[in-house]
Amino acid sequence: MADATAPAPTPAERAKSAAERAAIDASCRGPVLFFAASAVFWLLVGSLLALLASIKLHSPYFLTGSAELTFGRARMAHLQAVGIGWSSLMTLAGSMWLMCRLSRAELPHPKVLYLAGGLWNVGTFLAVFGILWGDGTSVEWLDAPPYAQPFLVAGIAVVSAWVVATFRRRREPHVYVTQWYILGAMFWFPWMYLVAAYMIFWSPATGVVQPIVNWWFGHNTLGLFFTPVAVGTAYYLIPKIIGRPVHSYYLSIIGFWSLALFYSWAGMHHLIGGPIPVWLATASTVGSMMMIIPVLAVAINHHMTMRGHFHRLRYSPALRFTVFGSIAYTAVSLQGSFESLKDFSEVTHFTHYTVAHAHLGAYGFVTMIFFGLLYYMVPRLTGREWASSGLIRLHFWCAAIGITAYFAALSIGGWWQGRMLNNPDVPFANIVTYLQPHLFARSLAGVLLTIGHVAFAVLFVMNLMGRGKPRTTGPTFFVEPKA
Amino acid sequence: MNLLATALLAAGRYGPDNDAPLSGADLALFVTVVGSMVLFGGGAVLALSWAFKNRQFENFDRGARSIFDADEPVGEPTDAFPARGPNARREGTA
Repeated sequence: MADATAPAPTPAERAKSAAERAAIDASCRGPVLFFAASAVFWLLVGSLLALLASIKLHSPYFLTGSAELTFGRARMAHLQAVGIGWSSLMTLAGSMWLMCRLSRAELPHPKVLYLAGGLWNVGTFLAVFGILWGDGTSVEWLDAPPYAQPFLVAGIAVVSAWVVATFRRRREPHVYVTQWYILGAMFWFPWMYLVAAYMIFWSPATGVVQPIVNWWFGHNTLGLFFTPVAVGTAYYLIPKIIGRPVHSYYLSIIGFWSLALFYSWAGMHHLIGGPIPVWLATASTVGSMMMIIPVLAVAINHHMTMRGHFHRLRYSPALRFTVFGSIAYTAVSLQGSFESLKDFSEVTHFTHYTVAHAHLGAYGFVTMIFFGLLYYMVPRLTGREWASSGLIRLHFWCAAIGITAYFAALSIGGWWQGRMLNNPDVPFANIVTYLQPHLFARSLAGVLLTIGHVAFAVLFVMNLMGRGKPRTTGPTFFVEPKA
Repeated sequence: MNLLATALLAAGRYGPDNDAPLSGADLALFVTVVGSMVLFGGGAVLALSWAFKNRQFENFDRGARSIFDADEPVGEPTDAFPARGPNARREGTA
């Protein structure tokens, strides 16, 4: 650990430190790149399924005649491809790499993680294509056919165990806030998944207990699996990229523990107005509002850390994506808190407004931060820089404009959809007609996002194939000379 | 909280107005819910007590600097825009 009052490190100390980091990265290179490459593949599959589902909503005669390509299946398959494919695999890849780096420990028995990655990929394949074949369960976020579940359970069990094993081998005595977030995610998600699968499929609970468990799991997948790792990633990348410690470490710890305390309450706001006890929905609304505490803690911290360094956004793709994601985290979380209010829910529930909110979270926040992670991590693992700045710029602008357009189109459309649905004088057909341009705009935004994904996939493959400038000062992590 | 509600709902089936017998599945459900509450809550308490015992919350300045090292010290950016075009400029390290 660097000490502000210590003398400048000698070249020998620098070399030793760099060599240690190189060894750590080398230990996890294979598994991390395997998980990341699989994630990018499923992102492409998910993008195509998303486009298919989106187009069908404004052009219902598009690709009809095949049960496999109906909206219901395509939409569920899209969620699985991007949920357990892209986002989960990136969550696991990021967790492994960050835990190794922050623990200053090498990954033990890395080959076992290829097996875990293989299991997770088989599970994702069975989930996506099982749904397209008609075996979906219609339980949101648990849409995968039951025969996919054992592969996913086994995969996450191995990765969680390996992350904890890496943590136990740590040479750095301090547990950085990112490690808290990762350990939380690795503990929460496997247990949530097992409990939800058990209570919904293996030994089904009856009545309203099922949707309660369903949304407890669904919402917590976002909040206690993707969110902690994405926020933890930002807590590592932003200070590391700009070379400045996080503004308030105290605030970061408050943020983690308040998320741990309040987030698991929030899932029931999805059932406001449903046949569940009123006190339960109300408690969930309180939990959702309490989430303002960790969200503001993170927002203040990231903004104040970046203060005076915003000009670096021009140069660093990793920083640019990460900061975009951090800003989206603040926006989507505050929006979510207010969406949980019953008066607000009366308008937005069961409308496209919720879909816009979900995508701001899953894409604007989580996906953008994971892109930032990939832009930072992959060159350090492969020893090659990215091959084309043009493709990076294409990727960023397609993603940024795409998700902004997506969010705007569905938020505006969804709000008025809700207002019209609440008005008995408005014929339903009028609402359908009103929504058509909004849904068309959503498809255009989806095309932009997909172009960005293809651009990134090309960059990623080129990097893996050794196309790209070698990192000039030697191994992956060596310092490059100043311009 | 949601699990607590689930437990209460499950428990409510065996109140004075409901004479339904307690099946094995019901018992398993109840154990799962209560067990989850204990695991989640107990896990958090254990983690917090471990952190206090190991003085993780005593020196925040040190904690914030723990991601830096001799090769990538505080004050040195570690990323740059890897371009060759007009925007190309490498700052610090990469």
